[in-house]
Amino acid sequence: MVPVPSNSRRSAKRLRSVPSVAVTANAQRLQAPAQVSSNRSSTVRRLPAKPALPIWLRLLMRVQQLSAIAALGSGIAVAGVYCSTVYIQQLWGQQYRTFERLERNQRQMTTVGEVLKDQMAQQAEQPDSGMAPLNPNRMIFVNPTQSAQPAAAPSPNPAPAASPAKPSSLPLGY
Amino acid sequence: MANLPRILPLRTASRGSTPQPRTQKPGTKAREIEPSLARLTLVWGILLGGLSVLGINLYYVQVTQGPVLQRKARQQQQIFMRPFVPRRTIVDRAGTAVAIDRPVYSLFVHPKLFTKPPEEVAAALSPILNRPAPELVNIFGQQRSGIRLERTLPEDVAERIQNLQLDGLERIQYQQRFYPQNDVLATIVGYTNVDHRGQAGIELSQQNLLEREVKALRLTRMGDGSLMPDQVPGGFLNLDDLQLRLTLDTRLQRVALAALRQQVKQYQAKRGGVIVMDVHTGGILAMATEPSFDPNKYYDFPVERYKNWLITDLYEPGSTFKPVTVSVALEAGTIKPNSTFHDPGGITVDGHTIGNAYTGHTGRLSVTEIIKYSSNVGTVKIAQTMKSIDFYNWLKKLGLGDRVGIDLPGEVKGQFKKKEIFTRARIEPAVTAFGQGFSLTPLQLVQLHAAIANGGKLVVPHLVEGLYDSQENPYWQPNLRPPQNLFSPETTTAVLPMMEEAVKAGTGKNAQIPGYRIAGKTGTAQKAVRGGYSSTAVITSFVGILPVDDPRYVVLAVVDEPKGGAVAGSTVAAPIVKTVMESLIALDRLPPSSAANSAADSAPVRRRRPSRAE
Repeated sequence: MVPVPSNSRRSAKRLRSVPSVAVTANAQRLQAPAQVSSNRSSTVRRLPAKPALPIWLRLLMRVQQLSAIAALGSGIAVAGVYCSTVYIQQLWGQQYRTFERLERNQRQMTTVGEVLKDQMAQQAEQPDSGMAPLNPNRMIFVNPTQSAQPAAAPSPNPAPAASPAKPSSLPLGY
Repeated sequence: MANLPRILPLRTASRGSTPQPRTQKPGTKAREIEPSLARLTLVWGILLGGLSVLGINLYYVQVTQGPVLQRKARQQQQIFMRPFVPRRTIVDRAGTAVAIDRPVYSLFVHPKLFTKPPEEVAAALSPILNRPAPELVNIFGQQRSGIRLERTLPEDVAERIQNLQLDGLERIQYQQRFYPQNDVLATIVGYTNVDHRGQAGIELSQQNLLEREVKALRLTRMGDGSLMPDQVPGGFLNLDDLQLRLTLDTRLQRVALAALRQQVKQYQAKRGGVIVMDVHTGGILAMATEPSFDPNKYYDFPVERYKNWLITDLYEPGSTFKPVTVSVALEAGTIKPNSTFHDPGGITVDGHTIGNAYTGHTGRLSVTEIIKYSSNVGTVKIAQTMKSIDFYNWLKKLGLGDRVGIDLPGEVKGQFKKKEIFTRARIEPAVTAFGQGFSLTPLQLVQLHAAIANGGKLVVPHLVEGLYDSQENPYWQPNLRPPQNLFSPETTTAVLPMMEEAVKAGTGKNAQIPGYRIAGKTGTAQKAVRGGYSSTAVITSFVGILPVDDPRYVVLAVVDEPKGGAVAGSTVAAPIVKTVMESLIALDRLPPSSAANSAADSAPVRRRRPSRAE
């Protein structure tokens, strides 16, 4: 507020002389600050501090502030969640397609693998395939050595199968 | 006077009588922003007009056109999906898939829905379907809609057709069972019909284990064609990875079938069969029949080929039954392993003369020699050491006249005489002793020999090992009848060397494998025909047990009605058993028998040659 200058008093007086009800009322209202300033010296005075607001009002204001922030936050969150639901569905759809493709690949691999195996087996059965059935004549069986009795003394018999000392031991086959 | 403009507005505002805007400066054209009624009406009219047009359109879209548009939207967004839920795969003991489900597509054409000229559609389809375009155009002209162009298109071809994005083409997916081994396992695995229901073999008997429930789903699709998951039921993706595993070995089966085919062809036989069974578990490793059929094209074969005659047909086992008779007599205590019997070359029972198939081994014969030379007379005499009723009760205990209870459909009961008939005439026990006068399935004979091999237990032959997941964990296993004890181990350890003698030096020489102790018995039975026996038709068989020192497998080969001069179990069936046993040794890495080594393995140097690829 700006302090009213001294000449304002004059103008106020002049206005008061105007015979009008409305103006009078206004002038009376305007009179108060003029009088205050006239009572005091021309030094600048501090206005009285605003009366402290009641606690409930401050509380309410605080609540309002907080709830506004919360509303904004949840608004953003809702938008985010909504977007994500749409996005997740889309993502699911894409992933499902990938899954289907992988499943199909797996099926096809299994099928092709088995068909190839079958074809190879059929080819091997042909006499001119250059393949022979696996039978005992084409296998080597090696007797495991007994760890307790190291073969320090070389056997005069070179045939590994002819070691009669351990008839119960199972030979390793490969 | 500087205060005046500040106060004046206050006055005017308090009165409210002069509507002069506060901001108005002298010189601005106040008249131009005077509201004009015409303009107001115009704007109002435009807005209202726009609104009412929108309202009319809304009514048109929502009410008049509503149902039609809704249907269209549903057609575009919603799909009625039948997810591909395959019937479970069947695998063998090595994990080789023997029955696989796959989706195939029928392609329907609706020319009335074409948005492009038929020539263009035909030109696009022609390279994919591998059919000439003019032929397709011709087909398109036949009907306006619903032309089935292809029946079984594989997935990738169907996808290529879909990628053409042509209108008027419709793919309908359905499931098809595929058997990669074609005819190798046909009589065991069976086949499924058009409706995907098992019709024979494991496919029929294990229907409930193989089938998964398929539910059609109504799902919503987005603009780019991807599915919206919100209507997908729980567990939609969690399809179990269980597979039905069999005890079979496809490689062994292949070898068995090849060996069988060769003999059947060479002897122009009516049919043949091979069974390989694990004597301890009863698991069947191979069960081959010839002739067979291709389950992928089952409709091209006569119906009688669909059956597995090794369990659906009966035969008289003949001499292969003799070791069983000996086991029964030993177990009953009426003979000892070292008992001897006089075989004069013939014996008359109830007026019927029974002779031996192989002459030249008469006189005093030990039990071993009776088996070794397959003496009918000796076996009859062994049976005669028992009372008829005891023998009968024993044979009933073995399960003659019953089913073995294998997990395949269509198994028949054996035929065995009634107690009164069996005990009344002395000829009945006499002929039964050497495997005639009653009949059983080849599988039952295998079961009885397995009992001799495994120390006297009657195991249940079976093919299903259980349901296993992809990590090889068992999920379900069949609840088999516990093995029934028939013979004591003393009995079986006495009988096995007798059968080994038959292979070493007797009728089963053709089944010898150097380095391995093999027990076996030949059988050449006359075929029963209308109340008597055929003079020409025989059924030859050989049953082998491997290895004698630790019996693990029984192998039976049966060849029905071989033709030619020297047809007998030893010539026709024994070589099959030998080939199968050789493969068994290779596949299961069976080490040479230690006792047989010392004698037979004078030359244990074995070279490695290129082995069979499978």
